[in-house]
Amino acid sequence: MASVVLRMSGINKEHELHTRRKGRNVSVGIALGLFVALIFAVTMVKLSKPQGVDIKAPNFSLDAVTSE
Amino acid sequence: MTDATFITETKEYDAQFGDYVDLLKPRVMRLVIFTAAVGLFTAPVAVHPVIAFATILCVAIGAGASGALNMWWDSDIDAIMKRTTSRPIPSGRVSRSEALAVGLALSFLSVMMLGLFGNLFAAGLLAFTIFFYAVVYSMWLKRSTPHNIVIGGAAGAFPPMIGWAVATGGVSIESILMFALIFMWTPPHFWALALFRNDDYKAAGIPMLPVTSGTKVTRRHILAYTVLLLPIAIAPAFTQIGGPLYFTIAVGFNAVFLFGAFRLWKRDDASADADSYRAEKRFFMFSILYLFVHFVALLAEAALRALDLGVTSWPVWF
Repeated sequence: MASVVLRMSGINKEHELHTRRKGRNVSVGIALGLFVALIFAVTMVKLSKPQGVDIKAPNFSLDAVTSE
Repeated sequence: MTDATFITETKEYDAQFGDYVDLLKPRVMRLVIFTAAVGLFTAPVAVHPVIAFATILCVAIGAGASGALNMWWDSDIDAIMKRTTSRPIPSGRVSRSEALAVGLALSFLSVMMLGLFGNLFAAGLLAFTIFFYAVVYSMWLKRSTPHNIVIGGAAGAFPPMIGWAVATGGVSIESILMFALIFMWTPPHFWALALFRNDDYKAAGIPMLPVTSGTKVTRRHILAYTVLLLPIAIAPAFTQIGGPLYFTIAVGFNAVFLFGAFRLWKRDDASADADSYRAEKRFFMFSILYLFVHFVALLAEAALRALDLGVTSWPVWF
């Protein structure tokens, strides 16, 4: 896609800055992807708990909550 | 107009992802991850593995962020000291403004995510830890008092307390003792380093104890703090998270540590110069093992209890 755009705009060669920063950009992309995956995983864990139970409450005890 | 129009930078080197990771002091992060994990796994409240992973990651990133802020603030002295000249800022890999941006962004992100993944109390503790390391230690104490690492050591002592807070939502004698263990261990550990890196600290104008009061006083302080550390290191054996295994290991390692501190106290500069500070370097290296083994022992006790192999008749005094 990028190469098509470059061809259409009459540019045949990418600036060397793009090559130089490629590794960094890919790494940041992977880190952000992992962050999204982590939020998804935590969301699934929190949603899998019974409704109304706040699992981040201090000294959480499922028995104490469900017996009320 | 193309994106090339906007490119005006002619820098020969652009910071790579690894350079930003170096800003976070990965070696310190390893210790933070380990001690926070011990705090979390020894707590009497079970935490889901995904939540445990996510919260420990937040603590690690928060600690790394405070490391980046420390590098931003101390870049002038880092450029002078041999030990720190290869850090990202003095070596020219990352600019000061980038380090500040990374430090601030990751500080906010880690505290916010810990509040969401764990609880607000743990997030508050992490925020205080970052503040304590970046502002109280780096900006205030480090360049103003020879007791900089005594008080500043608190920043490194918080991670197990945060791990414990993630699980329980509070503080208890066990987490306070884990905090106290690292807090009291920090001065002998860093003063041993300062003894054989004295020239570095002197050149950078950092008022470490050997610079301000001489090596004799420093050796006396190392011994005194090691003696004070002894009961604190053994006390967790008699709490809910301790047991005979921890007690045995703590007694053994404290005896060796105390003997090492005693040897340092008996030495003078002439004998230290003669063998290139061999005893001081060995004491420093052993101190790392000392702390690691204490926390491994606590983890082992937790594993034994989980497997119902704990000694039930063991006295719990605290």
